[in-house]
Amino acid sequence: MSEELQMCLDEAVEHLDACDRAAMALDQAASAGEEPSAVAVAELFRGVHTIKGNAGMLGLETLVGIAHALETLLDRLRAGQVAVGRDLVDVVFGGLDALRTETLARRNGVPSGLDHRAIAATILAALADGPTATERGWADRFPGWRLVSGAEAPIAAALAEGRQQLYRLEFALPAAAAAEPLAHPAVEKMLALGSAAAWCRGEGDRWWLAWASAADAETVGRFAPDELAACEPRPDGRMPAAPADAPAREATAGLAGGLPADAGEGTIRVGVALLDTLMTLVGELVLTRNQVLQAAELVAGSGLQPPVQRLSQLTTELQEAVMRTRMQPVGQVFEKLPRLVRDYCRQSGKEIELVQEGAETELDKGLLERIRGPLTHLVRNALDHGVEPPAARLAAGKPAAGTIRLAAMQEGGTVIVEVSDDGRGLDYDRIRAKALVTGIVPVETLARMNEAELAQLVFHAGFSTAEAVTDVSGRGVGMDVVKTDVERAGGSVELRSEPGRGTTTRLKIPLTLAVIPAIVAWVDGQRFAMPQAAIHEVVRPGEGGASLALVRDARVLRLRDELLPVVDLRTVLGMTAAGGGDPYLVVVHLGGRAIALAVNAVGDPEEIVVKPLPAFVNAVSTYAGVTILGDGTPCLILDVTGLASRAGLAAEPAGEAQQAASAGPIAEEVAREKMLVVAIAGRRYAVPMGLVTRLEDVPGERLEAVGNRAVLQYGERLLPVIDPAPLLGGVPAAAPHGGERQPLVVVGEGAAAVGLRVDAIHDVDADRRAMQAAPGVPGVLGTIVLGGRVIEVLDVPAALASVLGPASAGRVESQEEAPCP
Amino acid sequence: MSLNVPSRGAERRRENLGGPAGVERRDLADRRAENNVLYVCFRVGASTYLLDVHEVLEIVPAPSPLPVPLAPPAVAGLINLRGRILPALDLRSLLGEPPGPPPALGVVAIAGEDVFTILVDEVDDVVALSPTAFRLPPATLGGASRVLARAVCQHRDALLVVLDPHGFRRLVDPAGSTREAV
Repeated sequence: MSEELQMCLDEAVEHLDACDRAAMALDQAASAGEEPSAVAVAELFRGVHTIKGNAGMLGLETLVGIAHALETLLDRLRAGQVAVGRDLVDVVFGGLDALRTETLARRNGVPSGLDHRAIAATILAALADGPTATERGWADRFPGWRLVSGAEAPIAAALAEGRQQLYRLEFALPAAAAAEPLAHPAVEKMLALGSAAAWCRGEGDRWWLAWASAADAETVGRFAPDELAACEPRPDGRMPAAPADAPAREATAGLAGGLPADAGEGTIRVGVALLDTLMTLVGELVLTRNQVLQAAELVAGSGLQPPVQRLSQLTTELQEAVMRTRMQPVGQVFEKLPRLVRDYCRQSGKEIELVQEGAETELDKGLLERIRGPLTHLVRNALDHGVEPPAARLAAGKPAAGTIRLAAMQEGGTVIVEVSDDGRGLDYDRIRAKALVTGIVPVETLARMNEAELAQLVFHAGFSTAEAVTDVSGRGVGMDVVKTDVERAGGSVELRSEPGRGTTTRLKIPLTLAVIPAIVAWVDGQRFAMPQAAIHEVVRPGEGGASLALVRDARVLRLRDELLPVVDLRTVLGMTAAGGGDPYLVVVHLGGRAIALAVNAVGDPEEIVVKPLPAFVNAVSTYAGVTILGDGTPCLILDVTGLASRAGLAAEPAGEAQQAASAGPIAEEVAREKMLVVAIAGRRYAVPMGLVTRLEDVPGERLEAVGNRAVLQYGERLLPVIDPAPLLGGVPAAAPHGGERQPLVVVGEGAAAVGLRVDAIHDVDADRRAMQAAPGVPGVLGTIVLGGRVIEVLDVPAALASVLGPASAGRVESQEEAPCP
Repeated sequence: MSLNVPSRGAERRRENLGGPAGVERRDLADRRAENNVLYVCFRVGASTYLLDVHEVLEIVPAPSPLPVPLAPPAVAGLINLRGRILPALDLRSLLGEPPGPPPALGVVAIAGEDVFTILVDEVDDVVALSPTAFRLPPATLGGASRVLARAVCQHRDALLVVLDPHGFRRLVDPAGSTREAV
């Protein structure tokens, strides 16, 4: 692709972003029944016009065709020849979307397949059907004001393009002179400044004059006679309000529709790669500075100290400045959301207002990209599951229009981003029911859980209480992905919800990823850094209520009342055991569950500069990056999520989830559950991995018969073992012989755990398509396609109930799903 | 694949340890005048390899790479080159040769966007070779050597293998990614 084409397309995307914002302003005006802001229309016109011009030079016919039609429409809009209704705004959005599709397709070098003639025809058709194509005079639109000089049509265009501004002045005029307001000496003086048109309005002896002039505000101010009470420009080109409807001096700052001031001034484009290089160099400089500081102390009295101190301070300032270059306003990720909300409302019939606060809060560019996916997902959830339809809202005594609030604020070294809605909130009873069915929490624990703890369950992988599949949020899956993504960005997620009142999700993100606090731990003589955000605590077994225990051959950490699985980093990383104990356990939290990482030694917390992994090793998901320690040696940064999934502890393959989340329609992509494929009575069955807590392979003689049931001594407890074969119409498996191994699939946790006897455990695969229900087949929930084969999904709760009786069936009876975000 | 080149004088070797700068100082003008191509010549075990000087950024002394558990086996680890983290590749492991003594030097090579270090036992010289000296790698060259060899050439009495730095990615990372099975 030629450089010019690349630049043209890059620019087009930026213009389209600006146009989208302006169109949103137009939409707000249209829905409020107000006149559209002239600045917004001008902004749209300018953007589309520029795209057309640039595309024309490069012969991009499709872009030119669409842009031309859109320009024609906007021109009529600008001249006030068509009224702005929401339908018209839809057409404008449609045109902008077509431009964007074509631009992105061009950028990716693939044909978009758009027919610009058809699109142009659609756009122009809207113009012809416009409800009012008749020209409306300014006097109609601004009752009370009358035109006293100049002509309207050219002025409207001049105002819209910003060539002229509207000024307002207030003066006293005796009633007798009302017929000739322009004869007032002050007015005469002002009009001499090059007025193109003037309007006036009077109430008694108080008069206001509005006039359009090309002079700037400073000039007007300098010439304003003393007797004028107010003289101010109207940057949006709107007719100023009379003091009856507004204070005498209106704020002139802030453009209509929240359009940002021209951002192009005083800035240049710099490649992110260059900024990254700068970051690297500054990081090196900091290390060198530290060495120089140490060396300078050894030669005290040499006069070296003052310049070294100065060097040190400058280095710190430089580091901060370079970091600031990567900071971008959070508003960048908010940008696409108003459109999402608008389109959703138009489609669903809900009324939802999106409120933004703190969009100017700054965050590292890399982090911004990482929260884009989660944030979009949260807003979609709020739209779809949070805010109720107008009728339901009215019935609940709430205003018909719901509100979704996006707020960003800085709090110390972190940025808080909140998404809150005033919708129906979480239904805790349904969450409890769902938790029972899926068995993700033992019954006795569930009974003790309060609402805040229940709310955290929605972050559990595959946990969704949504009852309907919709366009917007797919199958409601994804809060676990949100959590994983945010945690990968070094942040955390909290969710608060009040039934009937709404839900607030709070993302806490570090200001920058470039420098993070971390703990360096030793494993087999090698140092690894762990982000402090992931670490809950560091314990030594035998101290402070922590002790190690052996549950079968797996080590667990008994910490206060919890049993945490212990992950031996040495084994997971495939390092050769060099002996020596792991006296330290680093407790990390992962999507609501805690695990303990065994390490040899732990250092003090320190700030580390995160660098990306270089080529050849960047595909290893166990590491989040690499850093350089104070002594100049590299040190790998562990990715706790990747580590846990490698150790087989995370329910979701985090790498996949991460990719899916950044790829747009999140929910659809990640809505596949992992399935364990096992053989029972000679056939293959799938067991949802979400239900499986452990896989065991025990010698046959360890299965003991207690009454008519088999049990396995499992740590200090007896694990009931059932044979699902009879339920599935198979022959019951024979009691295993002494020498045989018996594979078991353990479902449920704690006291509720049950072992399922299977012939063999084959593998784990993901379900790419939805499960087909298979009602009426005993013991089978439905069928799925795995690896090209149709496999039946074992109905685990039914299997348990058939063998263990109603006591167990009670905890799995509810199969229905409940709505909640 | 044992292509020996007679060891050069110790003082020449020392001169080259400093990297391309050392090379530049010497009779570069003479060599360029002959319209020859310059190659960095280095030894790994019993074999001698060449890399086009344009594909060599510098030579680093005594690299001690930080091992990366779970990385592809040919990745000996990471080194810190003035704040830049580079993977260090073990040519022995790539070619299936038994491990040797710790590497004495690292040749920093560039292939497109990839910058990496090849661990070597010795850097012999910078040699100027006429393009006419090159031959396609012999058909008998098999496996990894075939991917890494761009050409072979006769230099004095020895046959030298010219490495293709782009071959390393294909060899270390055949699928374009080494996402491990979880």
